[in-house]
Amino acid sequence: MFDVLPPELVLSILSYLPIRQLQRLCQVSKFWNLFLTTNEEKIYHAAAILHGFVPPQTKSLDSIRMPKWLEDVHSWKAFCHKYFKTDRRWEGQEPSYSSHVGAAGKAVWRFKVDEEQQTVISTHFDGGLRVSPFESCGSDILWLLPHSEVHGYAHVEFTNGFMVFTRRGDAIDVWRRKRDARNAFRPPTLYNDYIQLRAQNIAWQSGLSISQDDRGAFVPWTTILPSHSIHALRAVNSKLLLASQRVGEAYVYDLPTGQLLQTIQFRDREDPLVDVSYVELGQRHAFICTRSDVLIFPLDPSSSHVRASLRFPTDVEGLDEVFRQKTYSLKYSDFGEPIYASTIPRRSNLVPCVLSRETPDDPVIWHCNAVHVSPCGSHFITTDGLGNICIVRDFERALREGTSLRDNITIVNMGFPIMYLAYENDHRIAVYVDDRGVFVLPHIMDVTVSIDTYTMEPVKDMVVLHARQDLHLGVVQLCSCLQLSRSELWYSWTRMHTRPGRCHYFTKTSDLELGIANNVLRRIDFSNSSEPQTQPRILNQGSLS
Amino acid sequence: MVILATSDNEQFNVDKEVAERSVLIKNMLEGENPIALAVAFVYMKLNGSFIRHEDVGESDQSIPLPNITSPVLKKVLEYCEHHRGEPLPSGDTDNADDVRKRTTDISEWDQKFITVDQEMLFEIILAANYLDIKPLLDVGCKTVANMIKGKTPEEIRKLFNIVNDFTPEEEAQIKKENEWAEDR
Repeated sequence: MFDVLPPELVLSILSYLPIRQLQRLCQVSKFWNLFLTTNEEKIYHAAAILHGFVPPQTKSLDSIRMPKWLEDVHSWKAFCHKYFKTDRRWEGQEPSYSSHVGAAGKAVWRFKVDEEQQTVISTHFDGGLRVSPFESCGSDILWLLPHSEVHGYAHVEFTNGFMVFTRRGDAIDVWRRKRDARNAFRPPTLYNDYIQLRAQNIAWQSGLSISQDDRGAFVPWTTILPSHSIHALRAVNSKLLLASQRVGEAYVYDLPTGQLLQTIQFRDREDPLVDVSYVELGQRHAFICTRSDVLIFPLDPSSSHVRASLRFPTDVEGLDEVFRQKTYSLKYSDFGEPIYASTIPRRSNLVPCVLSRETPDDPVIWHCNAVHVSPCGSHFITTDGLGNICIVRDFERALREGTSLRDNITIVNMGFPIMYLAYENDHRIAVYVDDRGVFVLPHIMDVTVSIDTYTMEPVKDMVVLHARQDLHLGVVQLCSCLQLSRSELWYSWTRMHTRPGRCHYFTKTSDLELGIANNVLRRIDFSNSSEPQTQPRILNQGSLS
Repeated sequence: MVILATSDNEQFNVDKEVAERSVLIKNMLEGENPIALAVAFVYMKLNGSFIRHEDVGESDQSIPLPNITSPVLKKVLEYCEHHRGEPLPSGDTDNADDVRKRTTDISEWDQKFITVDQEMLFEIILAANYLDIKPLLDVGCKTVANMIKGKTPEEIRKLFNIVNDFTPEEEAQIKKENEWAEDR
């Protein structure tokens, strides 16, 4: 090849080869090895683009804003290596690092991860809000609002340094990271009510964190007082979406300016009793999930009256056909444990499970309970009370061209109700399936479209991985919140005494509350495989024993 | 019509539209690249090539392509003919979808067109590079990449007639350094 083609053309051929093949080329001969080593940076830069680790227009490593887990990376080869290893762990091929976030304490209800500051914001079953560091050693809280200021079961959202939480009554509190607020312009029109200002005085910041550039600390930004009671909220991309079920309206606010950008009317004239179960904000759309519909509204105020609705199953032409062809069902043993695809126990926190292409016998009854949109804004996922995960690809194109979504839908049936769903990175989701634990689906895009980023071959089967605590700690139960980042999986959990599948469905609310009261926060880091340095002492508090 | 002259002095009469799939020829015809033209002339004169017309750029003049033999040009023109009228790629504005589909996305016709022996394949790549026909260059490079893909080092040696000059120790060492992407 080299006797004929000049080096730049050889390099352009190599830019189409996955990393695995590049490494095999190194083993061909001394000359090849020398060529690949000499041009390592160019070759791995092209490979990073080919594998989708960076956008195609990325010119250099310096132009990327490196997340914490990539901070020690200074070459394209190391960059690819790190991504590669991390994704291998996401697929359950290698052990990952699981740790307990002690400072978050017990009774964790909702939480949000701030990757930039390496902190986690949590609200609690019994009230209060905490900001805790990622580090699992010690239980130092960085910042805290006591339960007098934040009610129990409060919902919290976090986007670009803005923290939003619900308050008793209908006010929505917006706070901003102290280190950001210091240099930011704060429009004089922003309003803080006395309750928020009082909370600021009560907020407690640990002495340690003051010396660390106010890590974890927040200051009041604005109080939003919607004219109607709010049933659901979501904050993404510095925007806040509030939905009021009673009047059938949703509001989009811009968080930095506190301005109302758009009012969305979502009540159906024929069906005045709309039951909002979830709201979601994408790059270009607002989603309102009712019992039977997913309503999609463009975020462009000029076209705010255009409404797209997806009703299951009647609206989707030939959904039966879809169910026959593109449904995957998770298999469980008689004891209610998922059946693992691999009999060889791998030292991983994620274990592959068996998915079959059989269609569930039950007729489809769709009651949407959540909707999440991909970060790119082109795909969305809804879940229902029966354990179906419905993956809708490229909905924007279908809406634009007015075509049926039929070919864009894939369904994964988890067998039990799905309580929480997290979507990250356009192709990876995590779900908490009631009483069965947390599962990760690393390649959710349609099997005929999805490409394995390493072999560059189409992915043949949908993969489902079961998240285990540590190697022997069993399944995650009573999860109250779940979050994904590129390199981490977070969830709150309680360890129950019973075997999985035996204890399901608490008969008394008090049992459930007892369980949730013991919920603790756990983080699985897939960029790291070292064993936990300190055996977390708080672990005992976390279990019921 | 444009007349193209190959290194073995064969002449091809080609529609302007077809010839302009090549950015090089397009620029020559528009008079944007006089240096390339001059270089080509000098090259051909040195090689004793026969040039019929002194004044290139008029529609009935021949354009010398000193790096390309007639079988290769024939093949390249077949490609240009088939893809005539398609929009030319506009710079390097490839989006994420393109990149994802890069290795699998060779159209059926292109696939059939590029099924040639290795020598011809490399000649086509060189010609596409010289004539600046980006889509053809991409198809050629993808095809070579697809030939390599999925092959073991030994199979690659066989493919390109490469001799393994590693000692067993060196080979083991190189293998060890380059196996993090392999399945285990």
